[in-house]
Amino acid sequence: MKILLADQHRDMLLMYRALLEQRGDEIVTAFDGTQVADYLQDTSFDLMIINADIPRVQSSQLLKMARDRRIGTVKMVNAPGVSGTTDHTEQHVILFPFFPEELFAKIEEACPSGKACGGVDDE
Amino acid sequence: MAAIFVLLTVLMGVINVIDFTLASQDADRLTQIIAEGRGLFVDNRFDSDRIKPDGMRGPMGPTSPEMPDSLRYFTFAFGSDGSVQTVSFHLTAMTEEDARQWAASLRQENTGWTRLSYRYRTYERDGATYVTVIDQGRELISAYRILIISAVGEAVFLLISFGVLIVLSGKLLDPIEKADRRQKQFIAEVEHNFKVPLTVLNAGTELLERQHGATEVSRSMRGQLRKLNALVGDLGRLTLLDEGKTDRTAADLSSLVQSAYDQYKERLSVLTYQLEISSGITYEADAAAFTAALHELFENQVKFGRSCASCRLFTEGNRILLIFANDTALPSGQYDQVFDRFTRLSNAEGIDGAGLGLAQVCGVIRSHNGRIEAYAENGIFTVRISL
Repeated sequence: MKILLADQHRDMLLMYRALLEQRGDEIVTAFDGTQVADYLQDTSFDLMIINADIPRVQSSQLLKMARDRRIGTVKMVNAPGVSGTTDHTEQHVILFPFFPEELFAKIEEACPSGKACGGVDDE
Repeated sequence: MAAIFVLLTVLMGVINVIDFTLASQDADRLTQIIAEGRGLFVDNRFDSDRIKPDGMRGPMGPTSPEMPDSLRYFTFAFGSDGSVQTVSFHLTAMTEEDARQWAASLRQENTGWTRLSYRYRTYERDGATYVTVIDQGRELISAYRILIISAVGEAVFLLISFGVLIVLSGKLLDPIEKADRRQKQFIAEVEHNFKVPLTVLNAGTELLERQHGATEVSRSMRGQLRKLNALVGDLGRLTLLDEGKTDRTAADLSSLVQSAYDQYKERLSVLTYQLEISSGITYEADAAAFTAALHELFENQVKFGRSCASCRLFTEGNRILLIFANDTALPSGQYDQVFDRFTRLSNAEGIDGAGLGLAQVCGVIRSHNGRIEAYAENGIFTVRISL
């Protein structure tokens, strides 16, 4: 699966890129919104994993761009008072802090094996 | 402030009641003297109490030497044959005829106040009914003045106290509020800023284990990370409570308690456990927050229960009571400090935790307008929640 991993924290990109590559995914990383927008225009992806607080371009705009291109999305959110993947009504949203297995489960939700993952409404 | 108001009101009330009682007694002494004189104010005692040659004054009040000349009163005698006789009339504020009609209206009474400042007495003499009315306006005016002055004085005192309190409270409470705000802000900041690094560390540990295999060191790191994740979760819930974010709907407390117990049933099975849940108890509650609080309470019993524990949910009058208890080595006493953040009691030594669980429970209960207390008695530690 080709994944665009977007987060402003370089350590996040470093760690999760390595973990996802070990899963066999092809990873492209971006650390701000303009980079993400450029990649979305130029390159095709199966999935975009994005930090909701990514700078320069609002993540909601980037998520819409991805949806328009039928790219699956997982949004990582640092919301006060909540963590993990429970008790949140939005689809394909993961809340900091989380464990790798929780992110993998979320990816599986957004892109079930063997099925196209684009076009999921996560707003 | 309320205590000062009550104290002042009681004090002023007592002073005024005594003042008016004494005024009534003085008036009754005068009407008694008039009654003894068959409607006339004659008392030989006054002769000896006149101003003495050396200038010393006689007694004041009803036995003042000036009283016979200054008393304003009238007496009418009502015969059984319907006749009315004016025994005395020393009033200028009304005509004799008006006074007669007034006295007639008082014939059936005994003694008391009439028309605000007049004291009357009705008595029988020689087969006739005598009605004596004396004007106590001048005497009562001082009592009314005391009443007004005390009421106004109390109001002024309260206003000044309130003003001083407002002015000073800012200075007195400001540091406390600032410290409280800083603590909440700190917790919110810690909670927010720890999340991403924790997520990175979670991934890093996973990566290390994948690359080098799970070792004692990596397992230890993973264990510590889980504790940190849980701590950040606790801080997050406290942040939500501090922000007053609750979503309250009619919740079935009986089901929530049963459901939470079911999740801990296996871990609690090492204890002799007594569960009593009255069915159908509902309350306007944030079910998610309440469930989290229940989990903390059961978790505490798992951690600190030695051989027995219990959970009871029932109603008493219009209150809902939820009582968690377990045996403990703590000496008897009140332990409400356990609801303070980062507070651990002496029995928590060697047991995992950061001292935030019961602080969260307390926050949830208080956000639901409930009361919570903790105490130990005869080797039983109890958390008592009243909603």
